[in-house]
Amino acid sequence: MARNVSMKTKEIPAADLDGDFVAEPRAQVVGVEVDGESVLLLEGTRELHALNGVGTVIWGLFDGSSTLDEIVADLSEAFQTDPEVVRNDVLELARLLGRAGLLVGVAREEPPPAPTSPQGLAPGTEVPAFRFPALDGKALGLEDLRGSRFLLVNWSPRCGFCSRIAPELAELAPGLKQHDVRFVFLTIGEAEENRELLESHGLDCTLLFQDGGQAEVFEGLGTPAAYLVDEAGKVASELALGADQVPVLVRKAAGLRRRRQGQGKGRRVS
Amino acid sequence: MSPDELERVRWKGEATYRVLSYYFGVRWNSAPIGDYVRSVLEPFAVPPDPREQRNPPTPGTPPTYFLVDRRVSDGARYRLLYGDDRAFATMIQSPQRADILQHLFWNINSESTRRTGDLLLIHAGAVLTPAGDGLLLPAPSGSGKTTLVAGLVRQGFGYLSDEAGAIDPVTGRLHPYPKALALKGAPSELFPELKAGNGRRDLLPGIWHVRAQDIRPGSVGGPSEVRFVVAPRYRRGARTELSSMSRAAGVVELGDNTMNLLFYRSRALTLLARVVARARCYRLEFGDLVEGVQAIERLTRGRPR
Repeated sequence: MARNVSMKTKEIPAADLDGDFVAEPRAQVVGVEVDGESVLLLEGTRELHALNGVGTVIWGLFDGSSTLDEIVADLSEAFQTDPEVVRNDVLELARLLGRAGLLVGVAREEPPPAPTSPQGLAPGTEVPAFRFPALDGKALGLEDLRGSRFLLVNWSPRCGFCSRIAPELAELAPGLKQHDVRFVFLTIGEAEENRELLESHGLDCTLLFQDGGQAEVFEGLGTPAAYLVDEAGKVASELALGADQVPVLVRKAAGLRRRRQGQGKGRRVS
Repeated sequence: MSPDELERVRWKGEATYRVLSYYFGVRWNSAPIGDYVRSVLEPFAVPPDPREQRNPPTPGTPPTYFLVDRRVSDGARYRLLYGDDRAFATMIQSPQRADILQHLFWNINSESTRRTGDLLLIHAGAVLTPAGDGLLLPAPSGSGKTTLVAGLVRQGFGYLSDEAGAIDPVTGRLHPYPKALALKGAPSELFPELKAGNGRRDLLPGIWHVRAQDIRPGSVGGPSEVRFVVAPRYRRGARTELSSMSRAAGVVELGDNTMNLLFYRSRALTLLARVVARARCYRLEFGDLVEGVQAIERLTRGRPR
């Protein structure tokens, strides 16, 4: 039986896993079995993963000593199943769980941004009213913002995607100002963590704390998400959702063309 | 606002409350504000408890919310302060009374869930079937939990919460957190029987605070075993569809909505598995309240005890 091959110090991408890989659950993974199916949790995160019956059996064979090919051979023999079918299942599961950070030696990948919602408000729609406290405690609402154009951003200092785009938004802020557009962030969390994130990137914005529940305009949507809002308080753009789309909307509002692929910090912008 | 100014405020009333594990006081100098606060927080009113007052985090007095209505020149007539008589901070000031009330209820909800470590809290509607079984409706905001809960209570289900399913980690039982239901949107079409002043509180624009007993007297229920997990999703125009899911998928639905998952860590999984062990798990998509309620009524009717 092959020994664990992970003598190397660098973690490998999940996509590179092959039949020689020796899968071993990370020590931080905890699980529970219910009716022959499993639920796994990487401790310290909120990410839960459900495995069906077959997945549960395969997971149980990730013992840190057998290669994936050896597991495939055992399963094919035990269930009298085509090895190629089993191999696809085993590799797919190993890559899925590796990507989720559950396997030793496999680089954890951030989950993809939320898909574009088909239910975004159509341009020309009135933005649903909101009124929230700003950093100084004074309440500010849509009514107070009428007469100015602004980018209304659904924001969270605890969101990795928000942190990722913060420098780019800060870079675009002067361009926005030239076009009389400002940032209005509807955020969550404590004042201090918000201030810290914004100040560390020099990002200047009006920060409103979504108290009493999420603002209706972003109800059911994740962060980051954004609309351009016009002087009349109406939606002036399609909904931008996720770390790729929001900077694109901001660049557009700042009168800039889309960033070419590969330009800037090497991050791909569609 | 300075401590001297706060000392000069003529208070019209005060009360102490315990919401889950959060013990606090509220003080006000305006009768309409006091009436509103009293009515919304009524299920949680407790007498002042000197023993609690000696407990951390605020030795001496319980943390107190001060609701101040004071005409001033800068336009911020209403203020919400938080602390005790000696040390306090302004949470929000606004020309709108609704702003300070909205912030008060949001903060109480957020603090009570944050400070409650002795119960596993699941973001869910929670009701009792007419047979006395616990039914959890785990879902994020905007999924139609509150409306569905109100509809079920009207039809004879017991009310436990429109916000959180509170699970005792020792017994695994579901406990009530019977806050006033916060109905949003256009509830007058769905609940025409709720008249202003008769169970309905209208100080906040776009939100009705409604006590469960005003939807149906005697509707607040007690602790129970969870026998049903139904993950609801409201989608305008959707056909009502109830589909079963495995108990493992039920654990994921509950875990995704567990507020203090990071506090309970691996223990949460064991506990959630125990919660679903005797439950049947479903997903409910609905576009119409009456149909959604009927689907749950059909599901839970006649379950053998």
